[in-house]
Amino acid sequence: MADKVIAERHRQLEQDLAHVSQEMYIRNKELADTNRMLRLLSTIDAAVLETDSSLETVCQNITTAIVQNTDYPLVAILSRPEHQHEHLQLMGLSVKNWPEAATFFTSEQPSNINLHHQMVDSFATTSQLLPIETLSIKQIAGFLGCPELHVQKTLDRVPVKSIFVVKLTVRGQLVGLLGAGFFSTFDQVAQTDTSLLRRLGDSIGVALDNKLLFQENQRVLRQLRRSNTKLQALDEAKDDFISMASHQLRTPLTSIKGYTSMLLEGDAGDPLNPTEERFLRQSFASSQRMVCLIADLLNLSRLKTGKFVIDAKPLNLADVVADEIDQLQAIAAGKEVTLKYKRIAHFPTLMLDENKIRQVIMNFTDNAIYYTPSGGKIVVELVDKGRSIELTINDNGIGVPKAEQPHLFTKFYRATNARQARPDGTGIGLFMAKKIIIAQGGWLIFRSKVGEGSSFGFGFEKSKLAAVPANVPDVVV
Amino acid sequence: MDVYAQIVESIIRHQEEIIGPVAIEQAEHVQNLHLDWQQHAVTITGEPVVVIESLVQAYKDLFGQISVEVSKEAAGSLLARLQPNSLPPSLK
Repeated sequence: MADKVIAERHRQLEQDLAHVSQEMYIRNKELADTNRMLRLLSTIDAAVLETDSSLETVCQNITTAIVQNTDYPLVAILSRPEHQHEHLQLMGLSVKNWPEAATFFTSEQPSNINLHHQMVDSFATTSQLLPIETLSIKQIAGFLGCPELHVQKTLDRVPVKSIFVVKLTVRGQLVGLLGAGFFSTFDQVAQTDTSLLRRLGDSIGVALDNKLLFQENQRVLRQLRRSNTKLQALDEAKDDFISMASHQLRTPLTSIKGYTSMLLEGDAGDPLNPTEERFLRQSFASSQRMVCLIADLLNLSRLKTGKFVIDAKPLNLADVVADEIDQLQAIAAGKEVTLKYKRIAHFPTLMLDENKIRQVIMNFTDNAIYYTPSGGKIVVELVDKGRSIELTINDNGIGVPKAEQPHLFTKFYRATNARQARPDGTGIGLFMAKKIIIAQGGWLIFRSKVGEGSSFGFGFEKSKLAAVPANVPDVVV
Repeated sequence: MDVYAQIVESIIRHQEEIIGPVAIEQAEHVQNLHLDWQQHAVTITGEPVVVIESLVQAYKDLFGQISVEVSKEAAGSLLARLQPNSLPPSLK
């Protein structure tokens, strides 16, 4: 009796063991399938990450990896050569034990398969298993765009009986086809194989799409580089022209300004009547403005060519400010704007580039006059603060909108209300003023409120201006 | 390697992916089958169909019918190269 029980238990144990073994086998098989798929996906990822490789190389690497890691005797990828192309080309073909297969096919002209070819349309939405006997050699050759002899030779060498085709679709767009041949007949192809190919198709589709996008980006980048080179050449030509034109304009302008000044001072003989004097003062002021504008253009050109140099010399800034303000009084009066400056009697001598600092003062004050309505007031203040000095030109003009203030000192930028008030401005003055002040180690002063007015100015540490500043080759436009 | 040896090699390789070294140990116990697995070299000295049947049966004894399906999958593409009357019965 006991023997019988033991035998029964033994039999039960053996059954349990067999059951556990089979369960483990099934789990291990699932893991092996997953592992195989992951290995293939990893190979595909690696192929795609080879950014230097062409689309053809990537496709060929993928088909080779699939053939090497599976039992499929034939794997092919057809892809769009570019996103905008409405046809497919054979980009990768690998055949087991026939490494030359790809060369054999691609030695001819690349095939062009219209995306709307009836065969492509006839495939089911995502994938289709096709018995090879339903396709004639002529049909296959016509589809691949290659000689019938090539198809015949391939099928003689690899007598596949069925082909599984996966449509590679990304973002609703067909990017290519993945095909795998089987020696098994249509009804013998294992479901695990079709599932694996469908899963691979998802990754390959994304991979091809990425590669196509990358190639497109590279093409656009090359175009942009070419355009950029052309634009740089044009920019240089423009700079050369500005530089040359500015130089050429300066000489006759100096003459105009000089003779106008002589007329105003009565050097021509008879005293001027009030109208003549008013006209001449306008003429003098305008030529003065033009001098300023040409200086800005010249400095801009020098900045770009690396010839922008600060030539610092001992300077009494109080005298320079007084001189510039005097020159602008006529324009301010013409606009019925009060321009006030109280000169400081004892002001320290500083090391500054006189021409450039004059240009800044002229720019700030000229702007203040332009953007202050009739009846307005401009007050110029030069202050010795002990360790530093500050110059501010304060007006009660139109002001600068807050949102636009951060852009004000950038090249060619003009605030919206400034463009309306003065359509002919260049947007260079404040940009150059900033460059000049920063290049000499100073800082800008700027405060503004729309409708209430603005304060523009600069400051310098006296200690910084005690020595002669070096040139500024590192100024970048 | 002839087709039968290739079938044996493919079956052992597929089984090895699932059960590891046990697949080789089992194959080494099959009569008339000689392995140099480091080189993936397979030699059959007896009747090849019988050898394949023994190999498939060895895996079946341990892991059941599912292992036969794996052997069929492994041999699948190579079976096409054999005449129908030369196919090992378990792989049909």
